[in-house]
Amino acid sequence: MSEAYAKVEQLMDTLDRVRRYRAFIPAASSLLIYTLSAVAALLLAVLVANFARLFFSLDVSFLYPPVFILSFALIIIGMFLGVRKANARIAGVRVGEWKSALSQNLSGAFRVLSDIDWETQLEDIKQAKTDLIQYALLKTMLYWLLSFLLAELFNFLIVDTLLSGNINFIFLGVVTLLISIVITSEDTSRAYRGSRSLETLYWQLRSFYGEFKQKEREFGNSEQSVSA
Amino acid sequence: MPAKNRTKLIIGVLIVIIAFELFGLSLFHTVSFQLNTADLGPPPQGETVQSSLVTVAKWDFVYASVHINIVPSGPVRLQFPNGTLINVTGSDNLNFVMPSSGGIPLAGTLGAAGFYLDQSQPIAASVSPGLTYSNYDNYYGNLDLSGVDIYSFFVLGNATVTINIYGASL
Repeated sequence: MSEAYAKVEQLMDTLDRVRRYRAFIPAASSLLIYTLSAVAALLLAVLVANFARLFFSLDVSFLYPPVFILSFALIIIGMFLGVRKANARIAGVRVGEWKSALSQNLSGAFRVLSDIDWETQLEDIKQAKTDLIQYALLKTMLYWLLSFLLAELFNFLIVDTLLSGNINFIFLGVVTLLISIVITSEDTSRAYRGSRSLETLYWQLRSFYGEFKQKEREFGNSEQSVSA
Repeated sequence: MPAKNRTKLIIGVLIVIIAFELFGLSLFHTVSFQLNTADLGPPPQGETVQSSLVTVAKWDFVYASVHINIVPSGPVRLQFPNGTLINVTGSDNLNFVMPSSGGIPLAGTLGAAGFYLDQSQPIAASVSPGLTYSNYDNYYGNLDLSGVDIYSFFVLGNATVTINIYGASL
């Protein structure tokens, strides 16, 4: 019996974790939107400055450092807000409500299983698989953006200002992308493994759900015949 | 529209905007340097003063804004390919635009008189010693300059030359 409890407990813990994943991803998307907006604003400012210099001989390069620092600050603030939002959403996910019911007896475990909205849960697991991969890609992208901006800052402050040189931004982009992929490779493979295990869980639960529904129907029928 | 799809749409639009901005930035090019013609060595054989050829070159599909500053270290004259001579007595600026003549960016390279043009570097400038007004035509006459716009003049004497070129492939 304790094995059955442990299995149900494990299952409910996994479902809670899936719920947390599902809550985190929309917040992470907001974080990506903040970051991309700040990058788009920074690039627009540089583009306008280039046009002004080329066509109107206006040298606005003195504006680069404040614009750059402002954009960098916006990205950091965006990340901070995004992380806060994500944490708030994760904290808002109601988890562990099944524990009191499960602690009662076997019928408690049965009730916990009966109360699960299986179709929604299975759909959530399917989504969480994609969410995990999205999260890994998002993390790599954010690392890339931050490292690229840091590299550009180094390029501007050290290479350009002090050494009168310039490192091609495409080269910087490729190098920082490779660095970000290396840094986040462990997370990416963990997300991949997580996604694979959710895939396995999905099919196990689907088969369990089928059997459970059958037993539930059989139980209902036997109860009806007893009362008749 | 569901919130999830709206988020995806916003992210997609932002990525497209950033891609366009990066493409736009990749069209801009800068050349910037400063040198003193005295550092280029002794005057050419048969000449009494240093003769340095300043060349600004670009592919014809590039719009360029050129700023050249000349600060003489002694008596300096500028000589243009049509023979015009100008005395430079103090710090002097040459600011001009080399407009795009509407060519099509094609793979090609050109290396001459200390400068080099290719697809990734469509504007260039150089200050080369040893070339004189008398051998200018011979020199450029042997080059295939199709698709290339060139502006050049000689600095006769010693001067500090600062060249800033901002260009865009348009």
